[in-house]
Amino acid sequence: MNTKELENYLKTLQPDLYSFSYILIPDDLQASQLIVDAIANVLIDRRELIDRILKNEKVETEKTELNHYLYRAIYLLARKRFHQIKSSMNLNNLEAFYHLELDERALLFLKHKMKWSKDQMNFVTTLSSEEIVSILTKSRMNLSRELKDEFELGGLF
Amino acid sequence: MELRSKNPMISLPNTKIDSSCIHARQLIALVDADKNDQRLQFFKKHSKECHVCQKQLKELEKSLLRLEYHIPKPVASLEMKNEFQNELSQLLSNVGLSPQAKLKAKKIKLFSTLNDVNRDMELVLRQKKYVFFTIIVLGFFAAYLINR
Ligand SMILES: [Zn+2]
Repeated sequence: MNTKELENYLKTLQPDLYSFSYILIPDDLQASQLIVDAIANVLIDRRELIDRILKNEKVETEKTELNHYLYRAIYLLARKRFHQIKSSMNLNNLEAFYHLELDERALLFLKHKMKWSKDQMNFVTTLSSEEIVSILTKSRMNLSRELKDEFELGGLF
Repeated sequence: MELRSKNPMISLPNTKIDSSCIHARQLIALVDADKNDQRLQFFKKHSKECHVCQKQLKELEKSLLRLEYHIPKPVASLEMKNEFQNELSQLLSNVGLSPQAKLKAKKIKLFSTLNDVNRDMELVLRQKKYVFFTIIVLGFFAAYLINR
C-alpha cells in the first residue's frame, strides 16, 4: 500500500471516526480536530505499524489494527479535552444521550452503533471486561431514566 | 448455570420480567455476552421451546431498538469533510517509509539480487553443454600456451 492508498483508506474511516469523536465531544470543530490529532498521534506513535502498511500489499490485519488505534487515540484525547471544556459546553441543551458520562457514551456507541465486541471495546478504552459490562448496564439504565419523560422503554432497563 | 441475581437491572421496581421461567430472568445479563458465551448458546436453544423466554426476548429486542434510536450517530457536514480531507493530505504529505524501514527494504533487495545471480550461475553450470564448451575453450587456450 502506498501513501496515497493509505490516505484513501483513512478517508473511508472518516464518517465513523467523526461520529465517535462527536458523541464524545459534541462540537463539530472539536470533533474534527480530534480525528486529525488522533491520526497525527498514530502516525508517530505507531511508526512500525505504518511501515508495515506501506511496505506490504496484503495489509487487512494491519488496517484493522490501525482503525482500532485511531479509536483508542480519539478516546484518550477526548477524555483529556472533555474535562477541560466540559464547563464551557451546555450539555443540558442537548439530547438525553449527552447527559451521560463520557465513558458511558463511548461504550454505548461502540456496543450499539458499531456492534463492537468486548475485546474491541477493551482495546479502545483499556477498561476490563467486568468494568465494560458494569458501565454498559449503568449507562442503559441512566439513558432509560433520562428518556422516561418522553416514553416508556418497556421497563426492561 | 450462573444466575446474575446481583444485576441491578433485575431488581428495578418497574421491570416487566416474566419470572415464570428462571431463564427469562437471565436474559438481560446476556445483552453484553459475547457471541460464543455458553449461556447465550444455551438460551438460544432453550428459547426455541420456551414461550415465556420467546416473549421476553421479543420484549428485550423492542426495548433495545428504542434505546438504540436514542444513541446518536452524528454525520459531519460537507464543509467539515472537505476540511478533514485537506488536513489529511497535509498530514500524509510527509509520510513515507521510516529511514530504518527503508534501510531494511534495501538490504532485502540486495540479498535478493545476490540470490538471483547465484541462481543464474548454478543454472549455467548445471547445463552440461556449457561445461563441455568451457573445457574445449580451456583446452585450446592451454594448447596455444604450450605451442607458443
Ligand atoms: Zn424459558
